[in-house]
Amino acid sequence: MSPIDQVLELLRGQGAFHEPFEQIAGGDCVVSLEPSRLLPAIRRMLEAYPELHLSAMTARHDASGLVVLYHLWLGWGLSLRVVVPNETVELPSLLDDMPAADWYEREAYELYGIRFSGRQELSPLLTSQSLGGRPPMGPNRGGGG
Amino acid sequence: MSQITLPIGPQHPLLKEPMALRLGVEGERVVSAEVEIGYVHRGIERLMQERTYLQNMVVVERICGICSHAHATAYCQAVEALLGVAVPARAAAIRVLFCELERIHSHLLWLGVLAEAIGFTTIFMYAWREREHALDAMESISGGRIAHGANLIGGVRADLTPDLAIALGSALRTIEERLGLFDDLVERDRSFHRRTQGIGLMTLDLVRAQGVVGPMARASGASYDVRVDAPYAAYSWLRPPVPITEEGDVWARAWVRVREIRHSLAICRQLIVSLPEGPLAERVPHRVPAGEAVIRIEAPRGELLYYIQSDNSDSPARVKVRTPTLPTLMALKQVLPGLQTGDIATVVAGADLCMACADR
Amino acid sequence: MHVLQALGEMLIFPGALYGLIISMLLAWLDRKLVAVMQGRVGPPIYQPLADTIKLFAKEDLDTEGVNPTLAGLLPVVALACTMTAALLVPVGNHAVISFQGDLVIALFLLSLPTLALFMAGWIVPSVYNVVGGNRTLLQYFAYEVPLLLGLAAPAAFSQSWRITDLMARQAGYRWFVLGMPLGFLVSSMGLIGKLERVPLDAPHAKAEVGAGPLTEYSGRKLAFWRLTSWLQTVVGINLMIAVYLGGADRMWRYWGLGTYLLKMLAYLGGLALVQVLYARYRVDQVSRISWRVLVPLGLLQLLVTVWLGA
Repeated sequence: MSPIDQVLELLRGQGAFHEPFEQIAGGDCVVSLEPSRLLPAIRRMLEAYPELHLSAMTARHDASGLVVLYHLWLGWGLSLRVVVPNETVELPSLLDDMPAADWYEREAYELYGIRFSGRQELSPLLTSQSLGGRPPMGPNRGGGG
Repeated sequence: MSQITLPIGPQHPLLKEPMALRLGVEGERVVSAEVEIGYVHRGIERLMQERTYLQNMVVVERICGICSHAHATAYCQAVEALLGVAVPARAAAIRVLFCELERIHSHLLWLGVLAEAIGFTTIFMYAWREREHALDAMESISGGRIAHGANLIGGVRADLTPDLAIALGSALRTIEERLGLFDDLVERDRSFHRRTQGIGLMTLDLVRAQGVVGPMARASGASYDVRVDAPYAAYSWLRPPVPITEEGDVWARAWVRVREIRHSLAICRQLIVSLPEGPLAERVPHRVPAGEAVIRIEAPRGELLYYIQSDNSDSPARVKVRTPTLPTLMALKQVLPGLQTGDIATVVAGADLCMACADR
Repeated sequence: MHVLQALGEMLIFPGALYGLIISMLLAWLDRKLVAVMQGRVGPPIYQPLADTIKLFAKEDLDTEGVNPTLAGLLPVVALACTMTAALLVPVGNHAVISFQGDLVIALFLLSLPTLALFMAGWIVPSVYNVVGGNRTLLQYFAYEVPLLLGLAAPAAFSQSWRITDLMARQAGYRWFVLGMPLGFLVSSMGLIGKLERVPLDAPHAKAEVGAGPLTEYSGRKLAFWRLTSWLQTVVGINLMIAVYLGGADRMWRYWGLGTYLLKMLAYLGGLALVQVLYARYRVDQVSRISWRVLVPLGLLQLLVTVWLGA
């Protein structure tokens, strides 16, 4: 079984998938997960691949709501896509299992308003404390049009 | 012994770019560290949503002055991936030439900054003098010392003519001759050893946990180098050796970087000799189709990731830039406690931080 | 006549005016030598004078929380002590004042500016000043001792604490540096620590503590501190030349002056070379080098000298 298939088996075992994985430009594979399945999937992957590397977390929004992509590297690129349907839904924080997620979560909260549960107060990373108001890049964003 | 707060930054003679370190110090020992960034946050990612793909070429180069070509290359590759366009071989090679020249100038810059931080002004002067050769070379080819504008979407704008190749070759030879001095510094200079060995230890576990990349990680034993692990552009046929060591202290980081300069010089020489023939750029469609792209490249500081989401319009719907300094800063919070105050400068300068990259 | 001559010597040559001029010249030469060795051009000859004039023209801030009288007094006291020490140390072959024990008094006078510098840092409620001041004090303890020990060896050999006696003993090119090289090295390192030059400039390591004890100072006060530092360099070099390098060898009148100038330039060149060749010692390494290496070597030199002389 190819490495990709092994990981997909692992993720399927978590009951994770929304649809078959897709391969996007640049070569990364993208797999969609339910928010509740994210943390178990990450933990399972860390067991199987202790050298799992979190390259980045991208937050964006589209028609389906707020989307967070976890860009992982295991010798090849895998992105986990999680949809946050509205602002009340919280994503589980990866801080305990992957400390590298710390500042990426803070940035996602600061720019998009995505909240992460299971960790201490999310303080802004890049903008001033006094910015207040709506997140500058979310769907109902503050600032200039 | 009472604790005082030693503030370093946002303005401090030690820092090249503003950031705030709030260090709790007891006597001559650091007991706690807070790292705050965001002083040069310019909202680049948001800005890029308001500009066309072509206009963003200019924006992307100015995220950082030291690794501007790395950003430009990653961005172009992401857009080209969305377009389904492959750059010609000559363009890919020239892109790598600039990448390696940039690596040389970035590492020499770092060496000078570290030397200045430990009071070794002479090495600072010498390193930055050699750096001028790399910058002059990039200027003679592209017209710019830092924001080169060398890339186009689909290829490169500037060519390496035979005259330029000769001049470049002699510049590379000069740097290589004088590189012996920095080799000596790292291997033999005891005053340098006294200030850098055993200082600022970063274990492999910390590197893995915080996702540290680049020479910082390779100095602690991690072997991740995007040029080798996920070759892009001309790296598919160039095989750069990757220096790795395990000490994990500031000395190891110097060792890795001086070696990388030497390897980069060799790659540049190889490129001059075996530059593929062909066009400089590919014609590209006007509109970028909808889709997503993730591109990783090896900037001088480590893995640089670009994510672009396109919605079939003139402007990207989302551009995400993850720069290699971010995990280093996260790890710094754990490396600083336990240091003597005299070593703070060494570790902070030795971490090769680029705040412009981190803040975007 | 006697009074006029004394005043002339104290205020003009080789006293205050000459001292200030030569200290600015040597400060320039120091920077020029370092620059050339680092592959740079270096400043023009009037730079130290220009810096001093500029500082006098700048606003002299009364930093909040600092006793202004004390802050203004300390640099003046420091400069005055250094100028007084300059009167005791021979320029060429002539010291304005000379008496038995003037070596000790000169060293004492030269140590007061360092204590004043520590106090200048201590009285300002800013982290950089206090930490810099603490480091100055630490370095003071670490480097006065080697300096003293190194200078005690020639004194023990000559059985005199009078600088002009030490000079006279070296007549005929029998310089003490040849017979007591260890003492020369130890006291030179002590001098480098005292002058807070690289590699012993931890108290004002820019990357760590800003300007150290002088961080919050500006204008006239800072100008006085700079002049003190430059004059201390000159007096220190003169002291080393007088005690170890034979002063101005009395061959002919003009030949003596020439050798004296050459020695001054050579010693300054040595200081500049050391600055260029080494990285800065960390402040704990400063102490360690002093107590574990310099002081034992100094004692060794002293013992050897006494034993050989006995």
